[in-house]
Formats: sequence, structure tokens, C-alpha cells
Amino acid sequence: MTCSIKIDNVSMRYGDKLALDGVSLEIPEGTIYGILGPNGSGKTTLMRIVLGLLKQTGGSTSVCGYDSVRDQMEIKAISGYVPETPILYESMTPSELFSFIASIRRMDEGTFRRRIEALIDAFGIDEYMNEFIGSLSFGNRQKVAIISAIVHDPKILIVDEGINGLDPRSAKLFKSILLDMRDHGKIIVFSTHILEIAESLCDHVAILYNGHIVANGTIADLRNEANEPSQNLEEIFLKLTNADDIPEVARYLRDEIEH
Amino acid sequence: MRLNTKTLFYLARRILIEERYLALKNSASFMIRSSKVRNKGNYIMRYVNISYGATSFSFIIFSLILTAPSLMNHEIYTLSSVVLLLFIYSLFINISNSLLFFVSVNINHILDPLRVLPVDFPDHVIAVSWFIYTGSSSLFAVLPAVFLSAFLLDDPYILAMGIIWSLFSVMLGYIIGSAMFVVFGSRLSGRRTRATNILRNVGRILFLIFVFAIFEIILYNANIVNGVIPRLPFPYSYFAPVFNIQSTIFFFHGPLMEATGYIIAITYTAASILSFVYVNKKAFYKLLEPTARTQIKGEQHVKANVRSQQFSFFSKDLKISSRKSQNLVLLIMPIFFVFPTIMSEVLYAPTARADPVTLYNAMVAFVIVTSSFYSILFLVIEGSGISFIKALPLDSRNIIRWKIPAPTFIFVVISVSMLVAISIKIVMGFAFYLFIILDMILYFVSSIVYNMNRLYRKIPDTADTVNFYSFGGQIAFITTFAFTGLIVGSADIFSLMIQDLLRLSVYMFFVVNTIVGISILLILAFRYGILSYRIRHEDGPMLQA
Repeated sequence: MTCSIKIDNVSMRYGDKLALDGVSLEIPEGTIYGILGPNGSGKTTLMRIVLGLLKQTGGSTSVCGYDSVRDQMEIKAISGYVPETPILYESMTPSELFSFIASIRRMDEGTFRRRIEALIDAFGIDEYMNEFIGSLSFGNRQKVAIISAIVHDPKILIVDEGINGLDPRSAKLFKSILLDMRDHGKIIVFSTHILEIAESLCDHVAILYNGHIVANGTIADLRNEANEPSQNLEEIFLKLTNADDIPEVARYLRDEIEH
Repeated sequence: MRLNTKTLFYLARRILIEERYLALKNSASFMIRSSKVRNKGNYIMRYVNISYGATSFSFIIFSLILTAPSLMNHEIYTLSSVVLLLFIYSLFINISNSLLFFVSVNINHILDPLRVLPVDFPDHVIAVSWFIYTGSSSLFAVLPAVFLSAFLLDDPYILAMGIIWSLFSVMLGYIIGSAMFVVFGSRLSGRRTRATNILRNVGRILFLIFVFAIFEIILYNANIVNGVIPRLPFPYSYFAPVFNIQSTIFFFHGPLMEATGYIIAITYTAASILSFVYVNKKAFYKLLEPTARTQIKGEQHVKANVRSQQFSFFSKDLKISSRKSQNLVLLIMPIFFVFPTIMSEVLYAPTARADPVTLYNAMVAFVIVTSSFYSILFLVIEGSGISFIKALPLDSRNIIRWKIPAPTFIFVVISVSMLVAISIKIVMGFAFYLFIILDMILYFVSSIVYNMNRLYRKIPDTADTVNFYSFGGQIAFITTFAFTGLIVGSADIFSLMIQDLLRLSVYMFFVVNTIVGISILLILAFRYGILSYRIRHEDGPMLQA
């Protein structure tokens, strides 16, 4: 059975504030889909709606045929989520947390043991397994959050700025894991501010700006859309989000500081 | 650089707004309402003020309801007992509130942004914040009674002394609460083996029980107990702070005694100010301590066990509730509230052969306080873990159902220990003890099922964290106590009524009470899907690992 994410005309309103306005996307399996956008553009809101953590106020979202409002549990069962800030139980050790997740997700013990040992070894956190998570550095907590999200081999992985705080080796490892997951038919929805990562990793990119999709497609499509065939993703992004006047702003700030 | 008074008050307000904001920020209603107002800071402040007003109002009503009958009948002794009860209540409220305030500021890292600023922060900023927006509300529990007593008895001395002692109670509550935070509050840091961690916490609890025991021994060695409030003989009655309210305010009048009364009250208040300066500084700097991290070398053994979902949840709840010593203190706090009552009702009864129903009724107070407190506490201990839990394939019914065993386990351990201790003094059939513990568990679980379901619904879908203010702060405590009291109290009264009407034996009281308890539990369990619900997902889309 093929699995895809369908976001159809989704809106999200908080009182008078419209966080998402008629967003539509279709993400097929075997894809790493980058969601880019300035701060506050609605990326996290969109990801949380896909996961069923937030109910949209308009439109519909389905994940592998499951409705994100009605079938939240089914979606959570086949998904993994790496949030922007690793939110974990600080008074548990990574070892206890992984066992807890495996128990809640009802994983087979042998498979869990094999996978968790491989992941711990790969991310180099063996020595922290019996420490309290609250005493780990941000980067190590992020590694724990990543392992928690992928240990059950999810069909859908939502990564919200998940590479933040990782050392270069772990960041490279995580990117390789994402590419491998894509090659095995998984769907990865990935948001980042580091446009080089998006450019090197994502098959498709959508740019969110003020709750709207302003561009959507492969990097080549975006270049064509911005009429800048030779430019990199950063320049295209700045142009599409009306932020291509940065050098002038920096000069203005320098003038203000010096006066 | 030192801060001026205006900035101090600004900062005190800021701390409180930050704390409430963290509790409210993800609630849909808050987001919708706050998006419509221009001045968002004022919006939260308005919420704080409304909550403060509602709490104070409920305290005034509570105070008036308790004092009105004895005032109208001019029963001075009863009135003085009620006023003393209000003072003790206010003291305990202030101890728990100040401890919770420190814990909340600590776990939410509210003072962290201050550390990087080049300013010498006054260490009483937390105390000011707590007093203005939390502690001062407890004055409304005692002052109406004091005003009414002074007015109806036409005695300005009662008014003056009542005001001094009520301020003293607030300060004493803060000092004890902050001292508890200094001793027990900590952030998790560094490496700690399981054995040393357990030993450290056991040591702290033993210390706490030791201090508490000294307090109890001093109090009860006086050996004269009247009703629910211990009445002390002369030297203690005049000099034991707070417990001397009856004698210093209502009795021993005359110029010399009144002058002595003022001297005692002012001396204690001055001593409490000195203690405040010392303890408050310690507590404040503990809040500013950075989290220590240790570098560990060497591979550690990975325990990779897959257990049942229920056991895994139970084990997680026990770990997160017992590993932070501040949570441990909160777990045993209900004992502090009700143990004096049980002691006075049962242990110091004139005869060693107690009536089992009297013992059960005394233990009902423990069920009400513990169940209410744990319903809130076991949701709050999730903290920021609530968003983690919500990303797992668990719905609210699973979460509530699996959250019942951990508090019940702790409750049973404490209750059985208390009953074993009581059984040394009280001669009573073993069957009665079994009935008492069975009924206590039934009503504890029933009220925890009801309260947790009620409170859990208040946590918004998008919540990143849960704290005491997520449910409405003190109002949540009051309503939870009220609902629990209604469930447990009405069943108890109903059973007593049946026993009395049909002239049944004591055994039959327990049989009726057990039947009522089982019925209530079954009704609530079906109502909230604890029993009937078979999780689709247990047999549904489980990941093929």
C-alpha cells in the first residue's frame, strides 16, 4: 500500500491571527520534503497538524489514509517526531526512556535491543546511558530525542529543526539516516533554517511565508519560479520572502550605531 | 549595579507573569483571547488579579462560614478554637504555596535570563512576588474572623494582635516553605548512581520526619486534647508560636498580660524577619545556581527491556515522582496536613480501645487530602514531558488509566504504615483494619479517577508543559478538595445514616461503605472508560519492529 501525506487547503487560526491560510501539499512516499520559511511563518504549526498534535481550523490532512483529526492514534503509531527543542523526561536516564518508548509502542524486545544498541553506538552516547537526561548537554539530549523518534522505524518522520545543536559528525550521520529512510520508502518532512542542508538533502521544498505557500517544488523548480536559474537556495529564499534587502539593512544599522 | 524599588516590583511582577504565562500559553482559549488584546502583559496580569480575587473571596467565605455560628452564640472558647484552626490552615497553605512557588520558578528556569545581566538582584524579589500575588491572599482566611471577633467582642486588642499574628503566620509559612526548598529542592545534575540517589533521598525524608516528630512530640506531650485542636498547658499555650493564638488573643486579658502579648508577638515577628533574611538569601541563590554537568568516560550498560504498557507507565511515574526530592516532599505533604488530626482523634483518645468507625472517619480526612493532592501532583510531574507523551500513540483514557497505579501504590504504602503504627496503640480486630484499608483504597481510586479526568481536560492539546497553574492555581486545589470531599464524605455520611437508621453493627457500617465504594468506583470507571474501553490501538496499528 502506498503511503502519502495530503494537506488540503489547511488553515489554522488563533483568534484573529491566521497562522496558516489555505495550505495544500501532497508528499509522496520516498521523499524528503523541506519546509522552509522565516520565523513565525507557520512551519511548526503545519508539522504539528500533520502529526495530529494540533487540530486545523479549516481544510483536511491525511497521512497514509488516516485523517489527522479522527485517527490521531494511528498516525502517531506510524510516525516519529523530532521537535525543535528536545523535550524529554529529565529525571529519567536515556536507557529508561528508550525502554519506556519501546514498551508504549509495543516493540518486540529482540528487535528493540538490536536497534537501540546500534543507534546508541552510532551516535556515540554509550557513556551517557545511565545519566539523568537533565544533566546531558543540549546536543546529547537532541541525540536522545532523535533516537526516540526513529527507534521504531516510523513510516513518517517529522523533523522540526532537528539538526540544531548536533556536532558535525552526528549531523552528518543523521542526514545519512534520513537519506537511507527515504531510499526505503519513508516520508521525511523536514524544516530547517540552514538552507545548505535543505539544498543538499531535500527532494522537494515548500517555502512558507506568513502562513501561505509562496513556492513549492524541486530546487530547480524554485530557481525557475524566482527567474534566477544560477542562484543558490538562500538567494531564492530571500527573494521569495521579500528579504533580499539585507545588505542595505546591515549598512543602515551600522550607521545608526555609529551615530 | 543595584536595582531601585520600582524595578524590584517590576521584576516581582515579571516573575509571576512568566510563571502564569508558561501555564497558559498553549491553551486555545488563551491564544484566542490574547490575540484580541493589544497589551498582552496586562491581559495576563488581569488573569492573575482575577485568580487572586477569586481565591481571596473563597477564603473570606470559608472564614466567615466557620466563625459565624460561634460568634452569633458568643461562644468564646469555640470561637478561639476556630480562629486557631484558621491560623493553622493559613500557615500550612503558606508553607505549601511558597514551596510550590520556589519549585515552579526552579523547574521553569524563570530566573535564568537574569543571570546574564550585569545587575545585583535583590534576593527578596521572589519573596515580594510570592507575597503580593499569592501569600497575601491567605490573610483573607484569618483577618475576617479576627475583625469580626474584635468587632463583636468590642476589643481592639484582639484586632491589633490578630493582625500581627496573621502577618507572622504568612512570614513563618514562607520561611518554612523556602527552607524546605533549600534542603530538598534541587535540579538534577551530574552523575548519580542509583544507590547514592536513593540514600540521599531517604536521608532527606528521615530528616524531615525527624523535624516533624519533634514538633509533634512537643505538641502532644502536653497531653490535653480537646476536639480537633490540641490545647496546650500554660507555658506552651502562651509561648508556642501560632498555637498560642487562643491564649494571647482571646484569653489572659489585663494590662500586664496584654503588654506581654504584644512583646511576644513582636519578638516572634522580629525573629522571623531575621530568619527570613537568612533563609530567603539561601533559597534565592539556590534558584540562581547553574546546573552542573559532569563529563563521564567509559561505556555504560544499556538496559533494554520491553514491558507491558501499563507497567512501563507505572514505573515511569514512580521514577519521575521520586527522583526529584522536591517531588518527594510534595508526595508526603498530605501526611503533614492530617496527621495531627488523626493523632488527636485516635492516638490520644482516653481509652486504648477505639471505635473502628471513629478511626475510619479520621482516615477519611487523609483520603480526601491525599487523593486531591495526588490528582494534581501526578499530572504536574509530567512537566514538559506532557508534549512528549502526546506525541506517542496514547489517548487521554490510556494516560489517565495508567496514571492511577503509581499514586495508589504510594497511598497504600503510606496508609498501611500509618495503620500499623496506630495498631500498636489501638486494640481492634484485624478485620476492621482490612475493612478500613479496603474502603480507603476504593474511595482514593474513585476520587483520583474523577479528579484526574476533570483536570486532564483542562490541559490544552498543544501544551508544552504542565504546572500547578495549568489547572487554575489555588482555585484548582479548592475545587479538587471540594469534589473529593463530596465523593468520600457523602459516602461516609450515607453509610453512617444507614447504620444508624437500621441499627446495624459496626461491621455492617463497613459492609455498606464497601458496597457504596465499589458502586462509585464502577460508575466512575465506566463513565470515564477505565474499564469498558478496549484500546483499538493495542490490537491495531502496532509497528512491526
